[in-house]
Amino acid sequence: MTRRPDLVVLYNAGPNVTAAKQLERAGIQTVLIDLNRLEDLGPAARTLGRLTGRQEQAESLAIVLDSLAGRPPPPSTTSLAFIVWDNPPIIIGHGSYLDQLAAQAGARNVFGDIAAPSAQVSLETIVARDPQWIAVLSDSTVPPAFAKRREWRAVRAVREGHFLLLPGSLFGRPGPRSGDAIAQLRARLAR
Amino acid sequence: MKWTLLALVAVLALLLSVVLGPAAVPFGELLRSDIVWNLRAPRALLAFLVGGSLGVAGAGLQALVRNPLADPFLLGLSGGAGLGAVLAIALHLPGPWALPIAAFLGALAALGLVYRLGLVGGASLDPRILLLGGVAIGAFAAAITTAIVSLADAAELRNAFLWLWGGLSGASWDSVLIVALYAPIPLAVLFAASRPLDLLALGEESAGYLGADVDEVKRRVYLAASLLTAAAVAVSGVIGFVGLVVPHIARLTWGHRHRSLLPAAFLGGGALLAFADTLARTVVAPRELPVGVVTALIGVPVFALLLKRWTIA
Repeated sequence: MTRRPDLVVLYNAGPNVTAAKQLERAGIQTVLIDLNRLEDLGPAARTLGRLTGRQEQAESLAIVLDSLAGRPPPPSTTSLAFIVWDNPPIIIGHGSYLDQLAAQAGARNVFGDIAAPSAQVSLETIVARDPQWIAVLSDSTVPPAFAKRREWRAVRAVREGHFLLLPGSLFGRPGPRSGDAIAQLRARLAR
Repeated sequence: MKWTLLALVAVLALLLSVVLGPAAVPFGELLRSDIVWNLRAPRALLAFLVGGSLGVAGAGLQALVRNPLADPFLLGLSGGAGLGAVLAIALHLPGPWALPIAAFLGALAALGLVYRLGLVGGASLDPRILLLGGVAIGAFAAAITTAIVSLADAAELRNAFLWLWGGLSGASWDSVLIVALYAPIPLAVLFAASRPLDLLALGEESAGYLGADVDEVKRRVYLAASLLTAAAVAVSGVIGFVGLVVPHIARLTWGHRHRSLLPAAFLGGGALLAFADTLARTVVAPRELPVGVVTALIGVPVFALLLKRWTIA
């Protein structure tokens, strides 16, 4: 509040809703933005354009982003599992933006039947679903530490070193560079 | 008869852990399946060893502090283990075993601090000071853990809490071997203290008159139970209710004599955790429940039922 911004942009989630109300009471304009899925990008761009007086540029960007979200995914040629955490194994389900990225890049998320954005599963479920790739959000170039754990070696993709290490800045959340993320994932899967 | 029944329950719990799972393994292929040999079998055995260890540690600590609410994690060990785990991630310690080892060391550090507090002013491990010290050290470690997590950028640091909530996903033949080699020593120390623990129930002064070396017994039981719990937390995080509820259930059936109570708590704790883990893996498959949720959902109603029958009788 001491910096008196003209506008505070907040991600629409529990504690931020309260913070937005407090800031509004202090006379600071706020906006809560849903940014969880590809289809949220276009509306977010339009909202920010309206609030910053750049509606024309925002509309042009929003049209591109809407087309990205509305594009029918290509037929899947490979399969993957996104591993968020190894112990307990937390995977990405259908409700997540990463599931959309995989579909648009031509890969089937083996946990696409789980409606939630993420879920805890048993390691044996990952073994049974046998993804061709294990995708991990990581800025590192070396496979994650769990790749060396004996129990994880039961997963074929781990044994064969089929890891997709995806930088968090590009793949971590939906944004104007989501198109780049899809193209990069597609290219890596094709290698 | 009741020992046979308990042994059968334990064997059944282990068999179910191996036969049932979220992945469909045909019955005829159970003995050849990689999923069974490399994932289910070590997980079932680890669940049994951890559950048994927590059951015995709980029974020993409840006798030591003469408090029915004593739980192996009440003495600050979970806070210490959590701090160790979070530090391992924050400092990017390399290697697949960094997190469990750091958690074990964190639990040992908490154990050492509580132990020192228990000796302050020549108090010779006063149960009240052990309990208060355990709660204080646990809260202090939890506060530092929360500070690190809230200040850190790494999103994965928050996932350390997932590990800390407890589970057996990290089970492998390596972890089974480590626990199988480590646990018998503190277990043997606790079993050997059965008679002095019976005497301790009469009060420290009476136990001393009846020939027990009270200070030595308290030291041995505290260290053995804590070392057992530290190993359990290192391989499976903090799994609640087993160490609290199982000794009470065993006491209601086998009485207060530790010679029977401790083996019953081991078999009962092992069976409960193996069974709870099978449910955790299967009831919401392909998703998995945190096993601590299941131990509470099974353990508390069973405990309440036994308590009711015991009170009416």
